[in-house]
Amino acid sequence: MLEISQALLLATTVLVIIALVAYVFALVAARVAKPQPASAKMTVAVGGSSAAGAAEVTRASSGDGSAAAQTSNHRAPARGIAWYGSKFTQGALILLTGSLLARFFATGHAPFSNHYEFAVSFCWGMILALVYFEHRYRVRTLAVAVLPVILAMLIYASTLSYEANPLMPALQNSPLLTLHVFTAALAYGAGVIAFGAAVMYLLSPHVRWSGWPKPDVLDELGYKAVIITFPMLTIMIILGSVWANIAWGRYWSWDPKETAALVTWLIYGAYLHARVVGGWRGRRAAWLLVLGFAAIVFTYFGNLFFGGMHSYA
Amino acid sequence: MSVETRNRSRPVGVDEPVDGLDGAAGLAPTQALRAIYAFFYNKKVGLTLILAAGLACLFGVLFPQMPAGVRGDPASVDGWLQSVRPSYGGWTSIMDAVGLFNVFSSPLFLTIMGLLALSITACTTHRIPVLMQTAFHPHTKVTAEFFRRARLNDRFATPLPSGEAVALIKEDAKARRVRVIEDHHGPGANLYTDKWHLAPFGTVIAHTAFVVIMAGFVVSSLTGFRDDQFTLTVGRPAEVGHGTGLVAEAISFSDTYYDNGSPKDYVTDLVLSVDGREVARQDVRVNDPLRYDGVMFHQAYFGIAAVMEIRDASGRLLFNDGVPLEWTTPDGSLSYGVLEVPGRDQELFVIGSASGRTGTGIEPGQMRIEVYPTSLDAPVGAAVLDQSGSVQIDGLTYTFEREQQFTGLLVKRDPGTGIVWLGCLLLIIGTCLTMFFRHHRIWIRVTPEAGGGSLVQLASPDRQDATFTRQFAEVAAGLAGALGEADALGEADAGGAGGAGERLEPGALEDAAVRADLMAEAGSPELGVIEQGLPEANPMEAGSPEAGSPEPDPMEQQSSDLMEEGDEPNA
Repeated sequence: MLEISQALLLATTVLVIIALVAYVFALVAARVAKPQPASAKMTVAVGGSSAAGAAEVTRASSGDGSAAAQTSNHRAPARGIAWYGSKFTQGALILLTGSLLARFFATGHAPFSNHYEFAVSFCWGMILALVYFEHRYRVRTLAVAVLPVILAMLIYASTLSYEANPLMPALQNSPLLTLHVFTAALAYGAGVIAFGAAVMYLLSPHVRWSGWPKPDVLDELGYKAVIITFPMLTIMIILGSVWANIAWGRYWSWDPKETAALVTWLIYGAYLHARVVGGWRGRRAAWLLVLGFAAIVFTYFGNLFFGGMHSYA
Repeated sequence: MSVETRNRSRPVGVDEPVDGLDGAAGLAPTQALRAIYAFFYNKKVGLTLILAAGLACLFGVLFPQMPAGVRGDPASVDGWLQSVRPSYGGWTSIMDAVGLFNVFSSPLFLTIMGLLALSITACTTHRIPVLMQTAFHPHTKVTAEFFRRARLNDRFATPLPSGEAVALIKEDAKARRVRVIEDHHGPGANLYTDKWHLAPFGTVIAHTAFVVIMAGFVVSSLTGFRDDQFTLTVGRPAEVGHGTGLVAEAISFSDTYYDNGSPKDYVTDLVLSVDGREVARQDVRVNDPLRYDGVMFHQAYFGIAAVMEIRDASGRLLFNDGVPLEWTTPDGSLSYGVLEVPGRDQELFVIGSASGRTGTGIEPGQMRIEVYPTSLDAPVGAAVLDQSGSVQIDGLTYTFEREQQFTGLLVKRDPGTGIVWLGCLLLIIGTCLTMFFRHHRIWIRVTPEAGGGSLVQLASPDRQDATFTRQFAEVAAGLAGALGEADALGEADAGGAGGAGERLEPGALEDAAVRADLMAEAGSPELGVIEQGLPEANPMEAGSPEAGSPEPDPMEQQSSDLMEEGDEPNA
């Protein structure tokens, strides 16, 4: 069963590579494609007046201005390369879910108990977040920024030993182990979306392709991702604290990994506050998202260097 | 020179200020307090403090932190610093001096956290009146301009008379479980509708929670007790102390291992007694502590103890208990325990070979004992004893009876824990309430039109949010369908842009509906489909809130009320 799990992990890696190639190819193809003559820019006054104060929205139009025509214009082609990239990503999610399930059946516990298992779960969280955001917000260019991170983590996971070790005494708390690490996977997974959106936001001024999402959209995507990351991080830290109080008799020990998680939480908290502080919106907020994901990565890898009570994870 | 000239031309009068302090002295205490309050509720200050706390925590992660048990003892501190000196060399003393090895107990860190607590308290206090106003006494009067300039707006004509249209709108709102507040000031009929109007209080709950958690930390550090190294030699009862009146005894201890040698379970069969009466008994495991009368017993560690007997020259028994070998020498070869010799200013060191170590001069089954005066480094006597072996040192007879397992427990009574859990619960509730339930507001105005019909206008200034944009479009399309011709319902359903009512002019709804369609309903758009930005920010909302006006809460992400920023509705 463990071999099946590992094989599915490798298959996931292959699918992610294919998906990334598809997205990159689609991006390059879209950039070199001739602009569609009928796709004239049309300005529509919001509120019926373009006088001072009226917001304006620029959108692509098929010429007749009808919503149906615009939609069909944007949809075509129905199954372009990016569509396949999207499907490969969804396939990767299914395979990785299978990998985790196979490991669950092999070990008898949720696959969250060591560095290898969390690497795989982390990948699962990232792919899940990508699939969700792609489905929900239809911003496929995001995959070009996010898939390389997922691929790197998948490759890293593949280099680790997938041998299953029985749970040490501190980890023998199935409900808290499952919930604590599962929320971490969700939080970190959404974090990579915020990171991808922030990177694309920061790249926006340097990209001349009109298909690149507008900064406002990327800004909102980053925020939408943090709406998942921040509550999940909060719950994850609190569950960890509850667990630590049971297992170690301390709800907070300033252990390197838990402190790093707190730093991550503070950075995302700062981001949420930064969005309403003048002068911190836009680029600075985007940099905070990049910093937040760096903190996530640091939290994950940090215990390799700093030890502490999370040294097994 | 010029100063002299001025002084000569304007002699200092009795009532005239001679320096700048007089101006400041004129500041009323209430003004000073208000200025301090304004400083702390300033969000830039809050943001700076959050980042400062994060940075301090990062230092605490990057550099090893001195264990709490080491800090109080200069000799232990020196020993600990020596242990990290190979890594930091000449920087060790400097880093110690600036507190990098004690980040979380350093005055700087505690100051940052204290200021952060003040900032959070001030922000929350400052925010509550605004939230109360928005939730319970929202602005219901709006200007005609508002319906044209708000971020989201739409309008349509309906053949229904005004009263009937309003009734249908109310029914629709009721079906959608939306709160409706009617404003009778006119012109026309005005309805304020909103959903989740209590959700913004989530920010208050979350921020309060953070302060509650910090208060819990303070209570934990100032009250109760914690004994990190409460050791029990199996079969040897010991008083718990700290005013508990409890006596604890480890009836047995077992450590079991998997086939690959990794630990499987550590179990102490623990009995608690009061005045010789058993009051609690439990198998204490790592994830299964014993709780009695607010005192917690956690399984922490274990090892080998040397059961020692000490008698004086007259044969009087001074000590007969286990001495846990709970310390290890830096090279890991020896385990040792320390005991203050009863009635003497001396310490007994009992030393054995660490598990699996040979060639130490102490064979399995043997213990080496060394007796030191407390203030000296040279022992007054030392010997290696076999089991049941004795030796006389400085007038006392030391006997090593046998080895016995000991269990190490963490014993604590922590009144702060409950406060921390309360804060955590509030934090989860507040965060989820804020993040997952958004306060959405729509103003609706119905005005009679010539010919018996009505004009229905909808608008909302709330902050850029694709989800709400789509909901706004759905509400507008749904109302247009409900208030218009029956055969136009399909149009509303299909496009969501217009419905049956006559569309007077293109508005946000068209864009919102198209966008909603693109983002949620449409097929599979290719890369870059969302190249359009969301509706640009209304210039009236884009500026910083005016001085003295409530700033939007960071976690709330609601728009500041359009009417509060200069678009005060008509009377």
